[in-house]
Amino acid sequence: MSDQIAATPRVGRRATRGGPRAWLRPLVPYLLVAPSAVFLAFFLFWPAVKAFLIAFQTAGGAFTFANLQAMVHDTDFGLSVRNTFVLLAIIIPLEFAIALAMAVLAQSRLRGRGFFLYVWSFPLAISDLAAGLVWFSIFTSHGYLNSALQDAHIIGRPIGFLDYTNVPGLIVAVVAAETWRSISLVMVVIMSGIQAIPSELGEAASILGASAWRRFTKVTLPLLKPTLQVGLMLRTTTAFQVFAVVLALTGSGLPVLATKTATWAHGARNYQMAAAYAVLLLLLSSLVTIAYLTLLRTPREVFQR
Amino acid sequence: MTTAVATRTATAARGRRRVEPGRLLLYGCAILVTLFMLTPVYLIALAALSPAQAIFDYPHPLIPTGISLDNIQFFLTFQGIVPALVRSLIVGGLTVVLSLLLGCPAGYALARYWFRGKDLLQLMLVNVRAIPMVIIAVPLLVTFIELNLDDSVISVALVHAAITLPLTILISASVFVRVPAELEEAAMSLGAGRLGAVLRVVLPNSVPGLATAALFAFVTSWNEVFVAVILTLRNTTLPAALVQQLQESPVGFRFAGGLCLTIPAFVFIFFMRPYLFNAFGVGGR
Amino acid sequence: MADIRIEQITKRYGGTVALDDVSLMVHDQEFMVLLGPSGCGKTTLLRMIAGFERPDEGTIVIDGRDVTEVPPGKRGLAMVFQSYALFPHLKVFDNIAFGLRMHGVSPPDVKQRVGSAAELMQIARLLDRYPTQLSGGQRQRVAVARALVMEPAVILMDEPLSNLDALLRLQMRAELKRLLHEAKTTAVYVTHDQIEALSMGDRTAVMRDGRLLQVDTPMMVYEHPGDVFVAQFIGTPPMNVLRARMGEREVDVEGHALSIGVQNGYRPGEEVAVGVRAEKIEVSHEQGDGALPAEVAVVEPLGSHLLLTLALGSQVIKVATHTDFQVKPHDQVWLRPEQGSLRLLGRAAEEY
Repeated sequence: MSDQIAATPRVGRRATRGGPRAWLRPLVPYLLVAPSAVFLAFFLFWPAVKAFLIAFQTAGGAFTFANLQAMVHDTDFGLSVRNTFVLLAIIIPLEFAIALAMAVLAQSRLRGRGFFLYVWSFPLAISDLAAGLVWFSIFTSHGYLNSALQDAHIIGRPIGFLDYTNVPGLIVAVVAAETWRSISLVMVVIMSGIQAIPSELGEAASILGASAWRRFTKVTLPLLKPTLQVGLMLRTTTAFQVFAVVLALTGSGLPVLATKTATWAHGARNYQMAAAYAVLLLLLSSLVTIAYLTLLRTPREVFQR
Repeated sequence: MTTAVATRTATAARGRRRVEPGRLLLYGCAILVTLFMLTPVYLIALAALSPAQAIFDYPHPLIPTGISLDNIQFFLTFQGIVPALVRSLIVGGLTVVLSLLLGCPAGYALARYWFRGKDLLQLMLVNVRAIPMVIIAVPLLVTFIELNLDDSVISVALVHAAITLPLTILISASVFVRVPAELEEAAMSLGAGRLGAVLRVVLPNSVPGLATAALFAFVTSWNEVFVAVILTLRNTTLPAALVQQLQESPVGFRFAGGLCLTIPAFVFIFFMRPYLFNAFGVGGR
Repeated sequence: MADIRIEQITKRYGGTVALDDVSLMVHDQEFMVLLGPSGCGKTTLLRMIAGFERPDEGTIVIDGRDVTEVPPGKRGLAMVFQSYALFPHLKVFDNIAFGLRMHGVSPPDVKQRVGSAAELMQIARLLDRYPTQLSGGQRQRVAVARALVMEPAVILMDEPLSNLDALLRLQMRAELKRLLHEAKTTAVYVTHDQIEALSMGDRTAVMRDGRLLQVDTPMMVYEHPGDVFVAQFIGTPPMNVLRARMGEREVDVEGHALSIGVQNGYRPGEEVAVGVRAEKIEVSHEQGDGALPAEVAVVEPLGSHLLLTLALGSQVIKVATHTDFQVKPHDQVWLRPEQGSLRLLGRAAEEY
């Protein structure tokens, strides 16, 4: 049994040992993994496939584009697509820039670093609904932002940030809430990437004459590319699905793909439309992910070991 | 690295009792960020804990004028909220149990064995997070309706377990890898069977890491909104109940709900701090 | 071309003193080795010269210029790190070119200088590769090339050979020594390996617990160690340290008198520590004048010589002798230290 020194995983096949149920041994890892694999297949992969089926089928089971057509002609279709992308285009760069700064700050030897990290991490455990409600209290017309602005005599009467007609206002509110909620995630991802960079690289660069800024751009950032890639993929996928924040802040004032899916499924019980929206969301999300993968490729030689 | 060098030099400067402007700037930025993080929480606490009448005061004072539990009380006694809260707890508990029961064996397999398809499995586990909740929720609803399980706590728990399973597997794998295989072998050489060795040696040494996995699973389930909304109508979890009431509810209700959802986060993060990096499984490779 | 004057450097980390009032002079074009066990402060001192640590007290002067407050990139230094610190995302060419580009050297000059540095280190054919594609020895050469291409006044090296296997280490030792001599660069080299220190340095600074114990040429450190610690740290096997009692012109070791010459500062009757190198002791089966009796415990044939471990009364002593000497354990033999080979290392109260 211990013919192999096992700090490393053991091979599933034992050539040396016979005995009862020896035929079982090579199967053990598969048996251990099987329940999870089946569970995931049933609850994650199969529904994803089924969504396509629902979206592309009529009630009778025939293949059709009708649902997609209906979706495109849906009242807020264009609006929801546009809003989703606008939010994405603003939130992602903003979050990553700030999170990079936060990660760099968190890495430096400031006193109270532990406290800072604790406070900066807590949005990780906040649900997006809670985030939406929290920022609702700020942006609502009799909320804290208007109160503060009016107290400071910057405005004479409350600004309707969350008015149905004030689309820029709605977008600003959602961006603020979403950024606040999920920036910790991005920060944590970036931090773990930074920590994997040996500190001697920075020292070598500094003794070769690089200033702090150049050390950051020429050493840290390039070596962060794989981490950024993962982070971007993670964050974009979740950003495409922004839902509860939008609901809490705007009701139905700012349609996005996820809210459309929910209204069609939950409200109107029209599962074909809902599936169509879901499929669209998945496709768009995948396209953007592939774009990242191509744009942020690092040559294999850099990291192979 | 970059700032590590800059601040090591700066740290040494402390011995000479001079504060570099660079460090002041760093502190200033850190404080600004902290304010950005904390202010909204302060404000919602303020809003939720103000007397009911204060809602209509405008402009709102930024300093508390009086503490009152009116809003909280209204929120908690509102019909359906407490049952929803209880259901959230049940769903969370079920999620943790399911996730661990399924995930630990798979994690053990990843930690101790090499097998064909292992790399593929790991790759898939990391990437499965890319499957949007949005796309699985509707088909699952349809399936649950067919199985007569819709609008039930079980249905939500099953889906939450599936959502948290990949992470549980990855975390438990990294936890088990850290328990040396020699310990199991020592146990077996002393007479324990394979299963006995695992139960007596590996699990007790993995408790902190598995507790983290459990905590992550629970928090994910507790906070999850979209699937809960889609799958339930009457037997809602807390977030879903809130969403249902959102449009018609008075403002004070929303504030109180927001506060109640936020406070547990502080507690969760406090316990999760040491394991935050593990959970996101990211390194520079 | 520069000399380094380290003056009264003290560095504390919390409660521990990493460097305690250390002063050292490195002459222009000298190869100075900082030698000592882990934790002795040698790396801290090196990093201070580099500028990565600031001293709590004291100054560092390079080529007449006080650089204590000057940041690392501006001291005219180059450094080779223990882990090489090659940039994994840059090809070898760009790694070597990095410093030149930071200093605004024009591309044609960069190309030319990188080329000659690569030729010098015999890695010209590797310029297009990434560090992860290189062996340990090749990476080490790139690290040295990256430093040398800067044509620095001073080069700092932090245990650059410790990650290489033994054979490679031997080769690189000789090569580094030759390279630096030809480049006429002042060098400060940190190592814990005393053989490396003796073979490479013009002078060796032996450090322990944040203090300099002795700064001398290799031969002096070897032949005339300043105290028990240095005596036992340098040399393989370590110098024999014997407990003895001070006499007028001799010391009494296990009841036998050995002449030592007048020693100032020691009174007769004091317990002292006496050092003598294994290869400076004659061993014979016949009792001679003033010889000490000893019993052989272990005989180790080491190829070029025999290493004997003997019991001298209650003490243990090692003697190196030629391979023809016929001896086996439990033999009674007679030892006679060569004239002038005994060293007084201090009072016997010191631990050894």
